[in-house]
Amino acid sequence: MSRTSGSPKLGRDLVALMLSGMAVTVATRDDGLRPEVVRAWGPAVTAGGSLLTLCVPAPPGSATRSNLEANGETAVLFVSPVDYRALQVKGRAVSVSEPTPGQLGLVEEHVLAFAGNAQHLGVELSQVRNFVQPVRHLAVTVSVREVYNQTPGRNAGAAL
Amino acid sequence: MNEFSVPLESLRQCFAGVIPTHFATCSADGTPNVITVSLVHYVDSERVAVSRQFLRKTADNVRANIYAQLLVTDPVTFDGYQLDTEYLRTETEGGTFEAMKADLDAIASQSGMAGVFRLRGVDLHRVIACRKVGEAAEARVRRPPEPDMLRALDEFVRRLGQCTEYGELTRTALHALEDLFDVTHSILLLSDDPGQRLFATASNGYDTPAVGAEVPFGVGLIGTAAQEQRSVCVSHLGRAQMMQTAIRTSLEDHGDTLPGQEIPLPGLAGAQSVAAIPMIALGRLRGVLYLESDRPGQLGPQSERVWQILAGHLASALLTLETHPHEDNPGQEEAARPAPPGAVLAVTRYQADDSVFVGDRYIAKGVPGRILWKMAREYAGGGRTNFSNRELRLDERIGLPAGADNLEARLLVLRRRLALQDCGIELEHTGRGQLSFRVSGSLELSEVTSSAGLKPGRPEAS
Repeated sequence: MSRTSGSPKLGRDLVALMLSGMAVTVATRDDGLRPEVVRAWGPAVTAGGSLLTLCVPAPPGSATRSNLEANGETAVLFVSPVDYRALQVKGRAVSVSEPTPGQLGLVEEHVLAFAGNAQHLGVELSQVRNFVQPVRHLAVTVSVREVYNQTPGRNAGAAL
Repeated sequence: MNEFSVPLESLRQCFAGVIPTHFATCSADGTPNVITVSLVHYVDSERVAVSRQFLRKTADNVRANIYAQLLVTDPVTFDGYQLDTEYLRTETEGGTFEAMKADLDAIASQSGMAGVFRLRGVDLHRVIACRKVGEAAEARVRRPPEPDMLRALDEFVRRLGQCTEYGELTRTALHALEDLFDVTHSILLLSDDPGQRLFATASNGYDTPAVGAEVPFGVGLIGTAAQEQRSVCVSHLGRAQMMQTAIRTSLEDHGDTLPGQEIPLPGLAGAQSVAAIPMIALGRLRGVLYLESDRPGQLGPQSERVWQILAGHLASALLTLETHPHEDNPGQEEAARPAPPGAVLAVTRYQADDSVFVGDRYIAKGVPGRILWKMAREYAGGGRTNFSNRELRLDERIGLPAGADNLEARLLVLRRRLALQDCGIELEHTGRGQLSFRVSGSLELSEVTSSAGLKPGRPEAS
């Protein structure tokens, strides 16, 4: 899987938003164009904003794992539980590997930040922990190709 | 018929939970797309409908490639469920469309955003697989057992069946909602005759009773439920309002003019879940039963049918008492008697809307205002204190419509407003269809003509 060349797509403000404890989901698809969506944790942005890494539940035999290995096409949605601001990153997975201890640490940080943000909705930390599936996770690095505004309103779907 | 590992019916509470539903599609060229959707509607055991508001890419995708997947979340346990779906068609009319439109319109209206975005359509999807995500760990949150709703319903009906008087019936119904269903805050609003406004007749659980508050048809959650004659249940009001605020902010950022400000709900500050249930009997809307909770998720669509049964039964019981009044024989015609000693109470009627004030305190307007004015005049003129429902119905100046006139409801509002204002005038129910007008002092009456305008202080629409 080759990385798309070009200028970084994720600026400093967007990265700050993405790392602020938003809800994150990852969609992949199989060769029959059937999508699969799962929650993802511990986002990290590197390479000047052109690479996005996340931990996704992808045990052997899962659709997400198969999709990542087969074609790598990925869409990642970030939604703020504070004010519904949202953005979507599209790209291709350029690496899939076992998460490092550092990446698992980011998962825990993300869980705590998200729980803090969702507290005003009556959501408790124990419930957020239920989100994190007790299955094997993979660290997936996505080469950023497109970024879209997904905040509800007239500009939903506009390229950023 | 499909057999899913998780029946779709069991996931209804997930479609309107605190965690938004995620919806993944894929374009014909193989690019996935994932969004959150504001509303997913359970259609039947094999189909769901997704609202189409801002979903241009999603709409294009499902037309090009019917396969999609929903990720929904249980609002209590936070377990996730994946629904594999196939797009069937888009509907722009019919029962499913109208039900979803009513929900969205109600929330938009409540947020001062009525008419900003119209529901373009609802996409119907056939569910081809439904499964729980991952495995439950030992320490996971458990869903508490469901209460026995049938037993509670049976007891609710039994209690209402014992009521013989209108005020007793409204009080019993709202108290039973608290006792039997743990709904600690509720308001009963009845419709005026032309079907333009609702007025609060009884309430339970509030520090300040809501009696007398008015809601125009089509405005807010309650007004929309009345106008559309459809239940509006918002199980997670915080989430719904947050989405509306995001839309509002997005529009304001682009200089768009919005139609209005958020409308405060008439009852509980900080309500987390609400339900506005139309009360329909003999084919007509009689009012709206409005329920509130400070607990997220309590009043969601999973219990909507129960509230509809309750509201329908209450509407029929109120109508029965309204249309088959059992009036006791009036007492002997009383002789004129002097006013008791006490303060002089200034009673003012504003002709423009028949509003009546005692001193500076607003009491009532419309029909209840005209009833109060009639009683005040006859008391001031000859010391009369006893009145009957029958004569109020026959008095053309009061202007009750023939047939179902809601007189009992209006008298109840008047009685409770007088008691609430503690203004020196009381209206007591002394027997079936019999009322006693009691004044602690003498009355000094005055009228303000229509051209002189209105006195401030009457309630605005909630």
